[in-house]
Amino acid sequence: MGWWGVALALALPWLAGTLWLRLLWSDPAPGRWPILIAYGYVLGVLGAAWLLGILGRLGLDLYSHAPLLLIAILTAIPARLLQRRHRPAHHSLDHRAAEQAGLWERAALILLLAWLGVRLAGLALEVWWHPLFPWDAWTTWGLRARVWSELGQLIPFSSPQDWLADTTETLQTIPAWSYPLTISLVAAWPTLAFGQWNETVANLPWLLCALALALGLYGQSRRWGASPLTALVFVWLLMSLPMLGTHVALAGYADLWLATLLGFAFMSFLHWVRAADEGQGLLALLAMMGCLSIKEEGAIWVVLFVPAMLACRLPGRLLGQLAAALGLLGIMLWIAISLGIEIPLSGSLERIALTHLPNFRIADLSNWRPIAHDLFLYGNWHILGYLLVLALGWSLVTAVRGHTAPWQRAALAWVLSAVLSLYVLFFWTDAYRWTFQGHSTNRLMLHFAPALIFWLMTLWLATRQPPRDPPSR
Amino acid sequence: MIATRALSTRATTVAVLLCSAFIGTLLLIAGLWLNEARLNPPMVLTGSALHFSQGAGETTSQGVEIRNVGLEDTAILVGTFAGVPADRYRTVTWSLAGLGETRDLRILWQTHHDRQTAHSRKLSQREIAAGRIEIGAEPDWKGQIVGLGIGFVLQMPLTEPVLLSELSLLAEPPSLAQTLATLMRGWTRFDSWSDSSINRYTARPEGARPPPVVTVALWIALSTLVYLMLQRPTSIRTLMNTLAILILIGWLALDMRWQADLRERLAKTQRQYAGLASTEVRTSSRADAALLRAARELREHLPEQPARIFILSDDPGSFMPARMRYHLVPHRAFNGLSHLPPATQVRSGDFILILGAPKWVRYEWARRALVEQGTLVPAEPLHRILGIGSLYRVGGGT
Repeated sequence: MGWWGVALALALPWLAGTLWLRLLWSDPAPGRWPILIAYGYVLGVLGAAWLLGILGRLGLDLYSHAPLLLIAILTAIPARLLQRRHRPAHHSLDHRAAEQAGLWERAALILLLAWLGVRLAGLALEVWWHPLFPWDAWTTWGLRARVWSELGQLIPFSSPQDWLADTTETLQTIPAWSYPLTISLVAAWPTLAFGQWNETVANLPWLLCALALALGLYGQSRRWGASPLTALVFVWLLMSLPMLGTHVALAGYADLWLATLLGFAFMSFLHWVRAADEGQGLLALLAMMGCLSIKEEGAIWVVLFVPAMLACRLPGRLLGQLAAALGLLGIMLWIAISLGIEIPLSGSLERIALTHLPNFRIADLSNWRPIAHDLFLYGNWHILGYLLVLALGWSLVTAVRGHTAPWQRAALAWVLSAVLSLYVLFFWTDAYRWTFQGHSTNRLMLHFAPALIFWLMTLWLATRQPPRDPPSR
Repeated sequence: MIATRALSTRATTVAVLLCSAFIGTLLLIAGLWLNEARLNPPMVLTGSALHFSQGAGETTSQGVEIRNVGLEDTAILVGTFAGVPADRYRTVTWSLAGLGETRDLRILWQTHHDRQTAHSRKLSQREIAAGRIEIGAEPDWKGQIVGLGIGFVLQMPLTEPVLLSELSLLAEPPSLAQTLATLMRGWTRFDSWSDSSINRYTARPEGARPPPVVTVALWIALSTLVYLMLQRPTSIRTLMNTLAILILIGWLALDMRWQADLRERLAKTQRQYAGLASTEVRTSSRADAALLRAARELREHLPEQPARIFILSDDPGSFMPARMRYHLVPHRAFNGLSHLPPATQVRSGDFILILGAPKWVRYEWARRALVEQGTLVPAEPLHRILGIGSLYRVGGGT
């Protein structure tokens, strides 16, 4: 089908996702359409990938039109239902807010939009021209997509041992054979519609994912109560991060998708905590499900919402005391291990071995230096590292004083849990080697970037005014 | 009246903010200037840091005593150190006692680029009397200086010991222009896309100091402090507004640098890849292009249906075998081997691709097999590509 097929393959799932969400969420609040379009794209494309995976496992020829036809039907259903529900069009709240903006605000809006447009255009050209470039993209994610695209079948990938013993003459193998299939299916999906493997076509979903991320952050910020300019400023802060831009330009890694889904989950979760918005609750759950299918870390990051849930139920003072107690326990454990004191259930001096859990190794703190360089010295995150330190300090003080709403406690608990999980990963496990090699530190931090930018936005608005309740239904 | 007062208050706040930003900038530059001087301390060689290249003597508490000379009545003392930039360190001083009349006094040095060569500069009588020389203009004084020495011709026997107390290399205090140039290097020099780009963006070109992120963070901190000294904020909101403006300005500066970097990278991408007819020829390097050509040649000897291919190399995790695996898709290749698989794991019809020339695997024509110590795999050579490797079919025959 060529490029028309690519357009259909990307547009139809997007439309299907957007329309289904529109059907479930009719509340005309500020930011609604950017949220629907953004979440619609990501969930729609993931849905298409999962559908492809299911049909492929059933033995279907991946080049058949069945997946596209199914998605077309799934697009038609909500479209028809919405048509029946048709209401007179009204001036969107976003439009009204933009019209009410003063002259300098409008000028700032236009300039920011232009700046973002230039940025995205440049990244789009990189995606258009650059071949599949980063290592994991052509050894893992893209390689699987290429195999499926060239053979038109969902060939299974196995361990090298199983590959050696295989007598079916179908199995393929790669070092990271056990990675989830979703991202490879996302890359393969538009190439199947194109008719053959093409690296540019395979990379296009990444560009659109970045666009969806920008729209989603804008919409969720508007819904939180930010003005169009404030929302756009925070979109700019996110899209200007060099690590994020790099993951768009050198498309093919799964980290951008996990960052988008985790960010969407966090944004929707906070909205749900703040206003008991069921629609946002559903979006949060869907985004979390998406996280589980992207990378193995997704499962760990989803668990971060558990302490966040607990935190919004607990009073601030108790939360601060609990955090302090956990921190003290951690310090005592670290000192005990360093001094060689026997820990019940533990193993040797250097290792904590708990039943049914991965081994934890107490590393010395020498790897704090490369982490500090990545956060505060190098250009990966501009000055986001410094802002996060300030924001954490301010939030902790506010929480201890007890002047916090449940959503603030939930957000803080989530952020602290994220910091703690990265700390444990980089200082208490063999992953400490990654910090010296520089392979994964920033990619793991990228997963949290959209959520952290949204959190900063909520803190910024909290300092300026009491949080606005969302419009009632 | 109230509106006028509000406008006046806002104008004052903006004026104070601009002043603070300006003063913050000046303080930043001044601080960097002083720091540059601190970062280039004198390189002082005394006592045990010096050793005789010619001649002999003894290290004392006052310095090194020269008691004897070597060839041609010459004594040479040298010391080595971690490199210092020649463009910054341009003055050599020494403290010599008991020298008397000497026919020849020289300063010697080595550079990082050419450690085997000892450059030298003969000193004039005036320079000897002054105990210092501005050596920066010497044509061989460049790059990184890693060794410094002093040599002199003495008339034997010595009437009194010659004592070298110290030999020093002094840095010139950086000028403001030099400080700004060092600062601007971080903002105007960019890298290209590389294999590590996906993991890290340092934004720290060589010779740039400090990194742009640190510069901006310092500027924001200094400007905020100056603002607080000039005007006590009337509310938390005013303080937050001020801080926000400074943060956004700093962030914008960093983003403009990033945009300039992206523009250069895009230009290189365009030169390298734009306009090419097919994705297949878009290889990232000459090495990759060679591998792609090789893969195309190898495909002519492989069946149409995906075949099982064992890729052997001396470094299975490196670029070449991994990239060849990609270029041979959709064949069922495995590039994780550095040794021959046991004969029980290969089947007739499989293929073995040996990349490079690992010394432990050889093909024996007599046995028509690939052999490695105790492993023997019957195979037929199919194709050899110079500089890449050789393809074999297991089992032999067609």
